[in-house]
Amino acid sequence: MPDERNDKFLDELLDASLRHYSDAAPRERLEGRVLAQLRSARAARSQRRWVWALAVGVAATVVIIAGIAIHKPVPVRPMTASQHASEPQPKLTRGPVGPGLALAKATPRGGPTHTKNLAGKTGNHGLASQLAEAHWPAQFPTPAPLSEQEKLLLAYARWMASSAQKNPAVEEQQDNLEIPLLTITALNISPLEGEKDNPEK
Amino acid sequence: MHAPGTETLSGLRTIADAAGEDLEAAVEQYARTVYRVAYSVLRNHHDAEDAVQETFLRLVRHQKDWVAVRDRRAWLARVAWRVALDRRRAAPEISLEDAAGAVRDLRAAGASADEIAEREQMTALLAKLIATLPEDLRNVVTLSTVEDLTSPEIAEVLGIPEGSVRERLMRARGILKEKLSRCLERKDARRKE
Repeated sequence: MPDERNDKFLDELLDASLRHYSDAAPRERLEGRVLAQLRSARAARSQRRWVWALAVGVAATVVIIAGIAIHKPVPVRPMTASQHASEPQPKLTRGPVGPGLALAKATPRGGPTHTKNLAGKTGNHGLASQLAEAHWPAQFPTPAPLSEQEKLLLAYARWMASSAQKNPAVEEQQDNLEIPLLTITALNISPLEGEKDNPEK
Repeated sequence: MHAPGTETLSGLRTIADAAGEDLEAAVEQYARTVYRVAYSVLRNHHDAEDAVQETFLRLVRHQKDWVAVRDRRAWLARVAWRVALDRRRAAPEISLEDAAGAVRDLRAAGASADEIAEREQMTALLAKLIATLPEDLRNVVTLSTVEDLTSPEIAEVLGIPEGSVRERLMRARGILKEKLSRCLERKDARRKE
């Protein structure tokens, strides 16, 4: 009997203890506290999203601007003859260089060679289209390196300029040079023999 | 007539509002269950409340999945269970002998089983005894103490068949009863000596 009573008591005690084990009441307004924290967390989350969206937008704008700046065609400035002379002279090739490129690099004096190149590769029929597609320089006629005569003339001009700077009196003297007046004597043309004899004719 | 962009924006706001309302409704409806699940593991009010906050924050993160969840209470209980297990710390040391002695005194004084069960000493004694159980039995017993949870919900939380829940619960209960009996008898024998 005592064992049965003890067994029954243990069952009741265990049931009641297990029932009370997690029967814990939270502090008041648990839901309010949880909701407040969730709202703040969601607000912070949406704020982070906006910041990221803004950062991505700025980065995209920068990339687009950089792309435009990189791919913008550089305006071709016409070269002067002196600038062109200082650059290395391009080589005319018959190899893999395309016709357009060869044309752009060719000089007028090298013209016959270049025309020969185009004609030799494609024939006369395709020459017109190739010429149309060719990337022509902005300046026409194409600047060419100076010839020997031009170089001599340029050197002379520079020498003259430098000598004038060194000795201004020479220039002044040149300005003050008196040019003697030309005297032209009157023409005295004697008539021909036949005209003397028969003046009526 | 609204512009297409305005309609889309208002539609998104409606979805967001609906999600927010759904979330608030979930908090109102399940916060206490979540709290009890967390408390059954943590045995501490502050830790349990922190676990509740963490559980609902995880719900915010998985809000897209929330719509497709069938048994929302079981889903939240499972999240709370995992959060609580992650946060579980070593329980404060209470002497098993002291707790058993206090229970024995109450019994000798003629206290009923319900009166004894409400005492802190009995809860501490039961916590000690539950802690000695194998893990599979311990988990089932712990979740079964949360009165809101049914056997199918416990099965879903633990990812086991419902039959296993009942079988483990019976085994665990038998072990607990035996240990409780020994504990009280030992104390009684010492007193007699």
